[in-house]
Amino acid sequence: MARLTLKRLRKTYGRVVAVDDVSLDVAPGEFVTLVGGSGCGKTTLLRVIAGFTAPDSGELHINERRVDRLAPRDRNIGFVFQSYALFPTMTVAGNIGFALRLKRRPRAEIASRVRELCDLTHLHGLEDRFPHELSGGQQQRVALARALAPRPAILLLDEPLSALDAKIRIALRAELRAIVERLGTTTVFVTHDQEEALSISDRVAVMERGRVIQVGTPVDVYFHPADSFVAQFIGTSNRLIGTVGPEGRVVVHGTPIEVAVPPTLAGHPRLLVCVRPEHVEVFRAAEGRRGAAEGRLAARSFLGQMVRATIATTEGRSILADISSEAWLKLDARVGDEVAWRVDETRVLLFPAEDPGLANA
Amino acid sequence: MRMRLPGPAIALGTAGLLGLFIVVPLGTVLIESFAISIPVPRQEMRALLLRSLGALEADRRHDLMQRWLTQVTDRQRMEATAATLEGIGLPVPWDRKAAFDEQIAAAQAAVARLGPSQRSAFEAEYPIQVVAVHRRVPLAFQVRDRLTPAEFDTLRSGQRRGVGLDHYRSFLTEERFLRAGRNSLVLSLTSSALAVVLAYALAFGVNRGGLRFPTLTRAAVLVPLVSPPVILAFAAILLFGRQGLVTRGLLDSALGLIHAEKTNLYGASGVVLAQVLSYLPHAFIVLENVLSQQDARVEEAAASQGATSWQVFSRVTVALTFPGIVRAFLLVFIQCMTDFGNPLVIGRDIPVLAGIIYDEILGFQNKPLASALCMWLLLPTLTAYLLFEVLGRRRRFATSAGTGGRLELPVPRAARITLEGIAALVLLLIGSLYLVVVAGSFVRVWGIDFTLTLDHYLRVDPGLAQLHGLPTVWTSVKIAGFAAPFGGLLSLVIAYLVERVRPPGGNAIGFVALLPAVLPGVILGIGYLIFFNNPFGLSSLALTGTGAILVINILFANLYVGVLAGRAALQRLDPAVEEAAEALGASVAQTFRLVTLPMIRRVLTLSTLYVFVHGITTLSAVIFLVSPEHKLASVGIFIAAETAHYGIACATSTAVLVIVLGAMALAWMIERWDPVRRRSMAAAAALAEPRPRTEQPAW
Repeated sequence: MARLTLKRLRKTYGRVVAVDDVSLDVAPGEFVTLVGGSGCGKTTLLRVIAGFTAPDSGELHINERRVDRLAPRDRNIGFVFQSYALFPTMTVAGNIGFALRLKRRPRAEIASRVRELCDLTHLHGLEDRFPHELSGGQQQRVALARALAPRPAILLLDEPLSALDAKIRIALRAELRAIVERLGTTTVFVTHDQEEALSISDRVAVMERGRVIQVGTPVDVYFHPADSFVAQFIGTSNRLIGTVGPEGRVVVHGTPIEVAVPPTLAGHPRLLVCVRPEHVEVFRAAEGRRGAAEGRLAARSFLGQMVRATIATTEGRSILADISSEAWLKLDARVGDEVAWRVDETRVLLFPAEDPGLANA
Repeated sequence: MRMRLPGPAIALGTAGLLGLFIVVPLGTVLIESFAISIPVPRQEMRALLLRSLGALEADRRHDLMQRWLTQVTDRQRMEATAATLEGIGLPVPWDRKAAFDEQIAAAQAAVARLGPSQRSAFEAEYPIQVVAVHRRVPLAFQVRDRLTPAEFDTLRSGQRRGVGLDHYRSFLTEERFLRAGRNSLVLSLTSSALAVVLAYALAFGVNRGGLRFPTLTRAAVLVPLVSPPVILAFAAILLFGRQGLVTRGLLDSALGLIHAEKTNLYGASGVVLAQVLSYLPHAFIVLENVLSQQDARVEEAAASQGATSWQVFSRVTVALTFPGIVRAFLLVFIQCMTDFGNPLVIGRDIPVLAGIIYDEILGFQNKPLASALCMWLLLPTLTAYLLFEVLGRRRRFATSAGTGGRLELPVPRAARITLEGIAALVLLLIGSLYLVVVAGSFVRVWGIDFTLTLDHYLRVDPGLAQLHGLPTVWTSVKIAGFAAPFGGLLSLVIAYLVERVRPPGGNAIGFVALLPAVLPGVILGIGYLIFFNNPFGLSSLALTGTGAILVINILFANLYVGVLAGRAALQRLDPAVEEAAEALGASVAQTFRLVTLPMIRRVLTLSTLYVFVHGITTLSAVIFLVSPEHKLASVGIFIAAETAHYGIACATSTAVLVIVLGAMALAWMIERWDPVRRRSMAAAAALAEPRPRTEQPAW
């Protein structure tokens, strides 16, 4: 259980700024995820925390101890790699016990610790296998057990689930969270999969171009994104430009959207309006619902649990709408049909039209 | 990756070793190439003379001077007189170009005419000048142990070491050097071209053309890579020389087609044959590598668009593998340019530059000239190497992301027959050459007396001082066997430093380790000869004539093979594995020992083996370093071949071949015994049995 503090870390490679003045506080036992697209700097930041990469400037503290000048081996961290990086010439037991063997712990202690971790990660019975005899999921669990063996103060995971297929990934991420929570280890997790980030983290740090755009709980970040990039990256968003009328309401032409402008955004003639697909309702054209606009069903993707429909507005824009499969069946619409649609105006997100997230998206 | 002790210490130590044993000898050769002899100025010589005379005991000096003064001839007296007159500042009053009688008379007259003060100066100076002009050498030997080696040389020769470009210039002015240079170029270009064409045909045949016995072909082509030096040259003589089995035995005596005395393989054709076959494996390896990485789908795409087989070959295959062709050419070119063994054995009447360098050292002891010629030899080889690097740096034509699958396009029958014909010819040639070597070792005098004998193996003829057959093989095995493990380990440490640790200057370390691969071996040999004779001016540390210098030379001259193999292996390994070790608490040394080394164990074995094989078969670097106590087999084979003692050459070569093949078989067996694979195979067997249900999740 350790506190991790990042103070204004900066790392450049030539003219590319990989980590741009990042500060972050991770509370003891907290599970924080760094999430962002490729090239956003999340892996670089993780490697700086680990000590594989030296920052150009800034400070790193683990429990009030300044560590940014220390080698990885002196920081008491555990690191789980995307490629697992298991020692191919050692068995599972050998891999897990490696750190303790380096510390010259007595054999009995090593054996019992290995047993403990194998139980924890459900590797019982596989101790004598070699890495190439294990499945991907098993290898990743060995990597986790190995990192946890020396009881590190901080656990760092670099996209550990990216190489696994979807179903295993979903099962393993919950497992991982459970293990780490049981041990109480402070954890920093890196992924590009925002759904993964939302599902297992205490807090999420959204990164882009070396900067942390927003840090908050998954609910925070989902419902109150700091800019349109976060709105777009976490979940999905329809992005529209709206004009502000004289009464202080913003209107998007060709859509039913008309929302009051909050005081914080007063003075902008145009605003960026984001609507999530699940907040778009679709009806049959003939039903004549109040506040609905006309549109045409341009495309649809059946995803099993729901249908993601693309609606072409009268102004020629495309709007994504998520409809539950049950509602879809009731809708009974085909591609090309006329439909009506409206938006849950309490869930509309507004941003300045010169939103920096625009550039990032 | 962070650097921690002993990371920097290891890097520094490695740099020091490489610096001392590669850079310094090379620098020595460079410096030596500028060393010229300049005449010592008169005053300096006079001072040295007086010092030397003073070093003698008084009565010894008196005796010697008496003897010398009375032994002078008239003419010598005259010349001493002239020197004395000049020495005391008086003009020489007679014509120095006149007939000697006239000069002698004139000299006596001049002395008689001297005034009293001049006379006394003359009398004082005259004995010194007698010694200076005529007795310097005996004096030098009299006081040898009281002079430094440099002073002794100066006194004896009247010349001093200076700095100049004279030796460089002589390459451009002396016809024999220019001719040798031209010969080298022409021969090398010819051999390279032929070797590349053949190698391409063979590599293509093995990789895509559907040759019937690819493994056999590959093995046969690669044998010269591990063979003793010049073996193909003198084997060619045994078959195609004046008394050759094919030339005299078959074509002359049996069929009467040619006169073996006139039509034989000595000369350019023999050299080309020997070089082509000797360096074919180098080209083959490069070309096979390139061809196997060439994505076969591209050729299939061309065929699907309507291209004929020839068009696919010429426009796609050859075009895309062209960088590899050029690289192979340059590689063979460098080898041929620096080859002196083959030309000296089978092409004595065609002097080549490498051969001249060898002669200048061993025959004329002219180290400065040989050094300068080495520098000239460097020009084409370094140029070729730079081109090689530039071409390698440029991204190979990236075709699709797929790996090169086996080409399944049918090869037209005519092409296949041609390829099989070429392969058969090469196999036949190589096979018969090696067979004739083995056969020749059991025959008394090849071509003349075919009685079977074991003499070449068993009897040691004291008259053949340098040769001494089989005992030299044992020396070679000992020395190479000692160098190999250190060389293998050091090459891996260097590979690890360059690939993983990346200290500042790491690239320089990698570059220096690879230098011996591109430079002519003779350069390193000369450098060791000069530098380690008197390292840093301390002759007590001299290594020349010892076994140590041979071990060190073999180690550093062949290090590069291990470095190349190690780097390739490390590039294929996931660097994250070593980072994982570091995160778990391992130091650089622990990571290398516990994690990296087990993963590249196979490469370590191979590197050690390569150093061993190269060490036993290397010639050009060690030829100047052998001594009566330490005779190497490769040198013995070369000298035996050069002096037409073919029986001994064959016997020693056969012994070396047996050892080398044995070493390779041993390495192959070690590879098969892999404890990881063994246990995993046992585990896999256990898996096949039904297991009791455990608390395993489905995944």
